[in-house]
Parts: sequence; structure tokens; C-alpha cells
Amino acid sequence: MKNLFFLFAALLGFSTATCAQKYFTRTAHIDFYSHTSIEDIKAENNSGTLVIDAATGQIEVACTIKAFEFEKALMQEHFNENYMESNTYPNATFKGKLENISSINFTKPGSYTTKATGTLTMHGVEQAVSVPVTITVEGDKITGETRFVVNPNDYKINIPGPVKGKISEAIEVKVKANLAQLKK
Amino acid sequence: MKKKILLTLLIAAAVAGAYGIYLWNKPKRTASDEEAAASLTAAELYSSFATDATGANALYLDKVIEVRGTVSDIALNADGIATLTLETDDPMAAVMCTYAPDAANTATIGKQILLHGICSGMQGDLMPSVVLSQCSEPQ
Repeated sequence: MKNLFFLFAALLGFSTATCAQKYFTRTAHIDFYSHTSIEDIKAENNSGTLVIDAATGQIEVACTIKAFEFEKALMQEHFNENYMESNTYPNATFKGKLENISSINFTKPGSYTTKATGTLTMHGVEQAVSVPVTITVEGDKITGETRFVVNPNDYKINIPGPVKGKISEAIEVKVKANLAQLKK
Repeated sequence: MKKKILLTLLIAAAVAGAYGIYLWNKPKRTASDEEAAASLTAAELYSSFATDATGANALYLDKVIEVRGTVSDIALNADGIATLTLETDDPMAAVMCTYAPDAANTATIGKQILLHGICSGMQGDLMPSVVLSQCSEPQ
């Protein structure tokens, strides 16, 4: 009987361990949009990594700067060479925590809104940020989404005088990802 | 004399204009246009970044490289373009490849594949990936 109890306890322990799942993707869509009266600039990156630890709420989003694609090759060049200096700072990363992770049930259909609070690092500058996050569970499809605004000045991204009017100080960033359960 | 100056100026303006138009419409870079700067396995590429990211960036960042590896996942990205995950020696790490929009794709899960792609570096700590874009399978 005692053995049975231990077996049960072990099974329970095992099942909670497997529930402490990670959800991830390596094809997160990240885009940004700069709107000014002179010019609209858009770029997107479809190879972002997003990992959520459903037990702790730990979240990491990472991408390479050079994987952002622009409509024009020349814009992409300027973005990499003049603004983001991507040879020196090849990455952008967000590391933080999802608030109220226990209120999100990754196996129960629904739409859950929360916040991700942590550190956004790009162009070698770290900034504390808190952004709204929506997690949608539809059958076995889990989608994570956020939208927030970034000011290039906060990341010491230097925009020279002649093009200042062409690049917004409120650049809208969107992230959308379809997450899969990590199987080990 | 005046006419000559005017003509020279006009030609200069036309050349500058044409060059401007050329720059503005410069085509995007694809991996198939260039010779590979290095040839290695997905495991070698990842371990190079994992052991010395700065050194690996100097070697591979923005370069067309040829990578061999086993396909562990195939997915379409948000633009409907095929992506491949290539295995490395670390189960949490991968080489993430996105095909060029018009590139032929013969990948199946478990298959050994050879790809040419532009390396944009490594991203992430929990599940690191080395990222290749504009990939194509060499003929």
C-alpha cells in the first residue's frame, strides 16, 4: 500500500513536471513601422525566437537585426549600417516575465491578456519595458501577440539631421507568433 | 562655351539621377548569387557561435555560407515562405533557415540537406538559433 502511495506521488510529480512546459517558436513574426508625413518605413523579420516557460512565466524573444527585410535593399543597408550598426550589435532581445502566468491556461481555449515586463536590449542599450501581451488558445493552436512603441533615442540610435524628418520617434513594433509545445 | 557647361551639367545630372534610381531599385541580395565563403555542418556552425560569438560574427555575419545538416522541422513563416530547422549537437539549439521566396525546396524531416544562405548571426539564450536567410539548395 505504501509503495502504491509512492508510485502515485511519483506519477503526480511526473505529471506536474511535464505540465511545467515550455512553448516556443523559431518563426516569430516581428515587424516595425515608422510613419512620418514624408515617408513610411516598414520592415519585417520572420525568424524570431520566442520561448515561454508556462510554469515560471519566464519569456524570451530574440532576433537578429540583419534578418529584418525592407521593401528596398537600400533602406535595409542604411538600417543596418547607419542606424542599428548591426555588425557591432547583431541582436535585439527581450527577456522578462509574463505577469499572472498562473491565470493563463495554455490548454484551455480562450484569449488571455497580460503584460510582459523585463529588459529590451538593442543597439547595445538595455531599457526596462512593460508591454501588453495577448495569448490566444484555439484548439491546439497557441498564438502570442504584442504591440508597443519604441523611440530610437532611447536606444542611442542616432538619426542624422537631414533624415530626421523621415524617421518617426514613435516606431510601432508588433510581434506575432504561433507557439508549439517543446517536446523533449 | 555656355552651351558646353550646360551640356556637361545636364549629363552630370542625368548620370547622378540614373545612379540614384539604380541605388533606390537595387535588387535584394540572394545567397544563390554569391559563392559560399565557408562550408560547414549545422553543428559546427552553432558550436562556433556558442564558443566565441564575436569570432563567429567576424567569420560568418552577412556572409553567404554553405551548411549541411539534418532537417528536424519544416514550417511556413508568416509570409508563407518555407523555413527549416537543422539539428545541432545541442537539443535546445538549432540552425534556422528561411528559403529565398522563389527557391526550390526538396526538404523532408530527417533528411540531410545542403543549403546556401546569408548568415545573420545567432539569437536567443534559452533556445539559441543561428539564422540563415535567402537560402537555396545548390544545383
